[in-house]
Amino acid sequence: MKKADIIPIAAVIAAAVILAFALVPRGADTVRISCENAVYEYPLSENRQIELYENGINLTVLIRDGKVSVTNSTCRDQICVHTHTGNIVCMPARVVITVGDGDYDYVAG
Amino acid sequence: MSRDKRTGRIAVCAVTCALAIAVSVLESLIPIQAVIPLPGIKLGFANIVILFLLYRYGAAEAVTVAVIKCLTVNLIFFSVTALVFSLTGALFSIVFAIVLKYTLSEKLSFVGISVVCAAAHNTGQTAAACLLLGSAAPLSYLPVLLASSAVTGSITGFILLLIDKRLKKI
Repeated sequence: MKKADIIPIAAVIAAAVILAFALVPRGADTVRISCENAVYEYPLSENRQIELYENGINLTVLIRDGKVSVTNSTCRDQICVHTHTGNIVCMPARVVITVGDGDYDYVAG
Repeated sequence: MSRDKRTGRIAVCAVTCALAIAVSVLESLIPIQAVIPLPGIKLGFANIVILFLLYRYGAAEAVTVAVIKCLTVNLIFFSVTALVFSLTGALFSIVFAIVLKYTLSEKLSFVGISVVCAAAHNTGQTAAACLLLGSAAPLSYLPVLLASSAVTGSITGFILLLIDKRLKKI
């Protein structure tokens, strides 16, 4: 190992921390579920369960106590089911679940 | 290039290709989620083989093996979606590795290079996800992936250091 190796390691960790702070979702009360051909919106304050069928995959989205989660997915990855913070993305089903407007246009700007 | 040299190159690519594929499959058997309980994180052992090729042989060999490994592993074991992500990640990673080889290889060891590759890989995949979904939402997972790439990149880089040290004696 060389001393300079610490520079890329530190830079990557710094980028992660900066991005994490820059991407904190703005306080919002709407859950937006974006599917391939439709967008659904629900208030975050009302508990409900939503069943989706997208691209051959069944997804169960649960809104409870001001939090949104995917409780069941028939896809192989199960990445969405294990995501507990931030936006939930299910690639195989092409579904994106965001709280608030979910667009980070202020980051680019 | 002489015929013998070309045959040798083809043989090296074939052997390392098989190695990269085997290592990818082996890696999928390691329950990394038990240690780092985050979805979508992997060690990236195949990058050990790709970086080794890049430094011992050249960019052409490394790119060829990276692309063939992505195609084979994803089409046999995963899906076309996974292939798109894997390929963008691999190409991002190798572009950075090639640039580093010709600019900073005196200053950085394989650990630093490997961390940059892992970060580039994850950034490429996130960019692919954003493009495919037409949304910036996958960006929110990038900090987690970047932090993990500092760890996994260091691990694979360190393994490559050990391997390289032993192979130099041969």
